[in-house]
Amino acid sequence: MTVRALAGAGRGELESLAGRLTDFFRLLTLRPLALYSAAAIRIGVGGLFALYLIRELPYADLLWGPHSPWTPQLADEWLQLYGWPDWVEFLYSPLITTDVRLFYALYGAAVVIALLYMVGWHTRVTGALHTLCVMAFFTRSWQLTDGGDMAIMLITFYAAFTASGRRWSLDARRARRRAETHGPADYRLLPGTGEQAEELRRRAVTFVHNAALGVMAAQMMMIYCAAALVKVMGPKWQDGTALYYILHISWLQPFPALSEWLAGPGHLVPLAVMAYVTVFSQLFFPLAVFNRTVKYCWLVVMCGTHLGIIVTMGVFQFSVIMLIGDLVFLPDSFWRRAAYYTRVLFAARGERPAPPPSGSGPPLPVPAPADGAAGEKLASY
Amino acid sequence: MTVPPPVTDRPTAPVPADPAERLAPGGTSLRPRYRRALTAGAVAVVSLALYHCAMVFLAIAPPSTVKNHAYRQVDWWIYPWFEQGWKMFAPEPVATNRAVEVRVYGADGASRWENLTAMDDARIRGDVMTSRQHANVVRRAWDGLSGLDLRKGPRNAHERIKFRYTRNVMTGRMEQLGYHDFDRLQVRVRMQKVPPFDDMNAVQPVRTVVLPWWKVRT
Repeated sequence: MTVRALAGAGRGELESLAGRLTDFFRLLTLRPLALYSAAAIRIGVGGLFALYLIRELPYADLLWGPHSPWTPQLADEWLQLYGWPDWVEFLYSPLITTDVRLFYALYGAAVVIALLYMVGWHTRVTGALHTLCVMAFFTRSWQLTDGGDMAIMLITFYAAFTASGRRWSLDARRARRRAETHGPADYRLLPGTGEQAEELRRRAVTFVHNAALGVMAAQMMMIYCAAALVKVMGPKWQDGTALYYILHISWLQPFPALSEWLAGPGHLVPLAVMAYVTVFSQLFFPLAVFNRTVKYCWLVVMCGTHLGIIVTMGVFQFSVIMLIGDLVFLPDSFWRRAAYYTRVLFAARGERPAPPPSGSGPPLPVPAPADGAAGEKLASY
Repeated sequence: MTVPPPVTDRPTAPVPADPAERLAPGGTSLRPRYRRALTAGAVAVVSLALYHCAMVFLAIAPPSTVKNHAYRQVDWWIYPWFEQGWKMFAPEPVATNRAVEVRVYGADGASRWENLTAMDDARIRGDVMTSRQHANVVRRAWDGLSGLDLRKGPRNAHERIKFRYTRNVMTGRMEQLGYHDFDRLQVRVRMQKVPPFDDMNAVQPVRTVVLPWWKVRT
């Protein structure tokens, strides 16, 4: 009798759990999460890569071009060793050319595509092209690459699957203008498709967007956690002297006087504290992001360490791409609130901007009564 | 029995209609056929995402029984798009300064040693966005030789390409410095450990690794 009662009680819990799970997935098909963050990531990824290529322009030919020590022939032989199918090789080898003019044409095209992606011009197309460009540079001269390039490649790839053009983009501006002049148009990507197919497409896009953000978040967590776990094993990270040694490495000194001062006598305690902060903030990052309050504290610490690495060690690409990746943890409500505070800060005296809507996003669409099935519940999604 | 509440929104301030929302799901109820298609698609996407995360996890994880079992599968999935490697300054931070020096042998005999690392480091100073040309090329070319037999030379195709690359890097640099018409080239690396933190002013010995002369095709 008691077992049956237990089973009966448990069934309710299980069904409620299953119901909540279904609701969660239904929500993921209806509401694109973190649209502002996706846009910020797009701007960051495109901008960083354009900046990178423009900065390397004086050395482009020596790094990826026909005159690179990793000659087109070496790059080609290296690719052959993998034994990939032809179409895969083709994907990785656009920059393997002995024609200097063609190389610079491709280089320029890559910069233009990165900038177009940044400003959100036909975001889906430029996003896919930009991802291929990043890949082409990555595989052309793999021995130049470091952690920064790897992270750029990963974040760029995941970002291409997000709906990053919905905010802060030329696409969004064009849509707004069109709506202002023509009214809310019945926007269909594929003309002639039925309303049902169109709705299905929109929900599929929304779900893929959310999944891509989820994978990006998981990737960030794994990067931080892996980096910390390996550090934990090292005696110099354990006794807190790791930063002292790193600051003495010549190729990590953009400002040697600063490095010398930081690693100088009397600074061993702050250096040890910094080392422990680095290790523990990375190690517990995957847990910290699940709590709203803790998350923001954590992100501030991560921001600080990344900026510190840029200034003291000159590790630019890696730090910036990790800062961009961290944006994936900021919900839309964060950006709305930030915009509100900015408006308050710059508002005229006596003026009070309207507070942002509370809650986690715009209201869910109300189901239109389908043909014949009036009063259908949302549960039928 | 508890019935799960339907998804409803908390009361919010009215949100002005955003034209950019035109691509958001409009709330049309899907007919069963489309709903099934959506469910199947969602299951596929979630499976793919989970599989990808598992592969990334295994790629990052140290060797284990699971990883040994799925080694080929992980490699196939990860390279080159999703390469992972986050052992920055870990487990041991870099604690040795390496200076790559090169000299060439031409008609005038052997040249003096040129310290390429010192030249690169000079270009890095004062620049937080350093060029790959100065931050990575020579350093990574030397790192690429680690694990290779520097006396006997390459043992397989991969190593042969690495040796050729390193030789090209050094040749190119020497040509930039104005050396031409040389048929041999020699690399040496001077390594000096950072003094330990409890004896900061200690002078560390310099260890030098001298490689054999390499023939250069000109």
